[in-house]
Amino acid sequence: MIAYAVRRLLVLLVTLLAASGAIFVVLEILPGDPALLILGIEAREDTLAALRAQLGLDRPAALRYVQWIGGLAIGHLGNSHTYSVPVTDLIAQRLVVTIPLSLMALILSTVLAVPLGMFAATRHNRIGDYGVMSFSQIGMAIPNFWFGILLVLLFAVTLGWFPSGGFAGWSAGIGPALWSLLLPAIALGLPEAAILARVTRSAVLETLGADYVRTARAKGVGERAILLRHVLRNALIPMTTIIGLQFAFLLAGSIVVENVFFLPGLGRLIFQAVTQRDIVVVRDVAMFLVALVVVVNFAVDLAYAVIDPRPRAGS
Amino acid sequence: MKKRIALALAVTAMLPALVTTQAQTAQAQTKDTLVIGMTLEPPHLDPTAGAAAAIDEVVYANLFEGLTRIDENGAVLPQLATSWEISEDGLTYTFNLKSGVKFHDGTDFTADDVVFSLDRARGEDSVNAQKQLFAAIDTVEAVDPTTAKITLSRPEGQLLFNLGWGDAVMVAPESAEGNKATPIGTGPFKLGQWAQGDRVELVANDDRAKLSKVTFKFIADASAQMAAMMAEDVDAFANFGAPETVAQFQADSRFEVVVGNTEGETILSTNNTRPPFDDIRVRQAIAHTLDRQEFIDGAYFGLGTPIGSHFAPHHPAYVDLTGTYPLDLDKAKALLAEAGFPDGFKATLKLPPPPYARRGGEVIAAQLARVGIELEIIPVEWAQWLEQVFRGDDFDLTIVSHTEPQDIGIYARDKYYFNYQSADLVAVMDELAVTADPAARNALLGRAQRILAEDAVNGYIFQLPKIGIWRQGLTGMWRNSPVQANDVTGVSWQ
Repeated sequence: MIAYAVRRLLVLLVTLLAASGAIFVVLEILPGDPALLILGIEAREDTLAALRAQLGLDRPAALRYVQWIGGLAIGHLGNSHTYSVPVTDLIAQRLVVTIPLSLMALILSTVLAVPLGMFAATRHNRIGDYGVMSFSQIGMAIPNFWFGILLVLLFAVTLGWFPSGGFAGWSAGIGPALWSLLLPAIALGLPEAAILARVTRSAVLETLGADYVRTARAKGVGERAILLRHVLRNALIPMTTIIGLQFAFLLAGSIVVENVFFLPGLGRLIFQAVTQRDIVVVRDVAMFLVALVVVVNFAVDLAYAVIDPRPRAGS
Repeated sequence: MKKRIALALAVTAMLPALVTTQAQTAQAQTKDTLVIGMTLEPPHLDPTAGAAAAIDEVVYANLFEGLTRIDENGAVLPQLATSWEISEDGLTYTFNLKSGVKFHDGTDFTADDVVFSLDRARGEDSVNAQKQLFAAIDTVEAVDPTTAKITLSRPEGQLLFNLGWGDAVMVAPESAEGNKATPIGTGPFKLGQWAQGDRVELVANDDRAKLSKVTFKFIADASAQMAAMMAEDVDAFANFGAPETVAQFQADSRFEVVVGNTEGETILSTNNTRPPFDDIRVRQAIAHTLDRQEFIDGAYFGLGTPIGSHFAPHHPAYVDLTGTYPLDLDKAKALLAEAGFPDGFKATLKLPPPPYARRGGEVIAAQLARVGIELEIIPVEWAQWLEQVFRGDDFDLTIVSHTEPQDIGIYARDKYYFNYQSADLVAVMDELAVTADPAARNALLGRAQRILAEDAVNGYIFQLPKIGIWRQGLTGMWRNSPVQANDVTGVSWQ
């Protein structure tokens, strides 16, 4: 188990290093001069040069890469070009929105999808199954920005139950804060729920046909116990994989959803930073997201080992 | 257990609803706060160190003040300078300053701050985005604490207007460095809180402020802007981003819709040295092909004023030149044939992100296709536009709104991205620089507009409208925006 964990950890570090190189190179060749964007069309040559020097953009690329990686290693992420505040602060401020939002969406989608998937599997090729599968089709087909707009029009504009967007802030209390994240979480979680419901259904269907299930049935174990003790436990592996992958999708989807609901989250930060050529923020946040996804995958790998000892024995 | 969880969930779900309802009722009784929606968030809050319009849209006149200021109609008014004398030769300006003015951190505003602010803006390491505003200034001196003297190296007829820009506001040596995050000015409002990505809150600093708190909330998405307004989460949008929904607000008695002008001349900018656009007949042909109203209807849902030259219709010197090259496709084809393109030609059209450009670009491409000019549309980001089009000279045509106030002078520059050269225009602009009499200035500006229209330098399309939407009962919001600002110093609820 420990050797397995160490191997996965090494893979994780190599992935991070490769990602940092890719991010840096992409941002280097991205057209657009940050100094020009900040100062606009009336900027004079001397002013632009002064600003480039101030931002450190006049140094060679290799040096800037080493400085960046060195800074990351000691936890110093640098200052945002546009906001002129430490990126660490920016990320921290945005995480208190994006992490709860993603978690809420994850919980909502799991709570909705797992029972639906199991329900569909147990009613294979019957009306209940078709119902769940059409819900899943629709859920996957609806773009979440559009679904978000529909939710706002119904629940905020027409009914007035929710704010139309924005984040109340944790200082306003847990209730209002979670309340303001609920619609975005639904918009974000629905497509994920649709995918997860499909995966759950097919995983449960597959295990339902397994020999040990037949054996259990033959022994006279009740359907409910079979489903919970034998089927679900074995269907957990593909489900865990999908939930782990979904986390990355949720972070990516939050860029769109945070824009529709004007939430000050990480997705909106990186979107703004790209358009404003705030390279420091883009590369730090991109790196942070990569790290987050890689770490979640690492955790999922370890979770497999707990759920099912076979992968580590085989590898 | 199950029941308890369900109950707990129900209570948690209802609590915030109760809380918000109470808060809303309390707000309705004594409304002295205002929530203004803005499309873009300012990158920082120092108007002397960046070109982003969003900076001025938060701080101009509210938080920072200059020697002069520009009002809703574009007129120059005294602000921190109460009056001024101009020498006979137009080279010395003596400003009498308001006394007893304090910065938000308690330090006094004196003539030394004027010297500091202007020297900083035009100095060697200055990162002021509008450094050319101060190009004519030779020295700035403090005569005594309430008198400052500016000496020019050449006459500058626009000096008082230039000093009214956000880029020329007064800052203090003690606090200037930190103004990006914690702006310290002399205005009636000071910074309350800036929740990055979400909102900036300004709070009243003294009794000049008519509101206790003004919140600028950043909502980039057009449909989210519409929803926020409809749900009354936002009280006002000074520059509403969803023109397609304006009719809905006009029909709703809760709101007031005020369509005014910005300083944004929206033009089909043309690379004047790149063939075939170096041939005036080709540019005239394009001018004869432009259907301005069709563009306005298609790109901006019928809102906005057609223009025939590079000048804002609300300015007293404006001349309507939209008839210089009237819509005439046969004439356009004849001109193209004369220039050697009887079957038209192919060219590219680079479009920056704003909807006026992206939507308008389709309209322009369809219009020019009527005379055989086939445009390839290339969408670009602002950063790319600045680098490729504005600095790199790498474009045929582009659509862009020139939002700088009274910027006709860009046509007289040696090297400007559309590469226009005209000795006539340079002569007019040189004369303008040394002319102070308003009537004579207006006549010169009229001549300049005619030269540009006749040379068909660019395709002049329309003046970008300022779509203001706010809740009934709000007074004092600007109709036009002669400078990019949301001046709330005169705004209150009835």
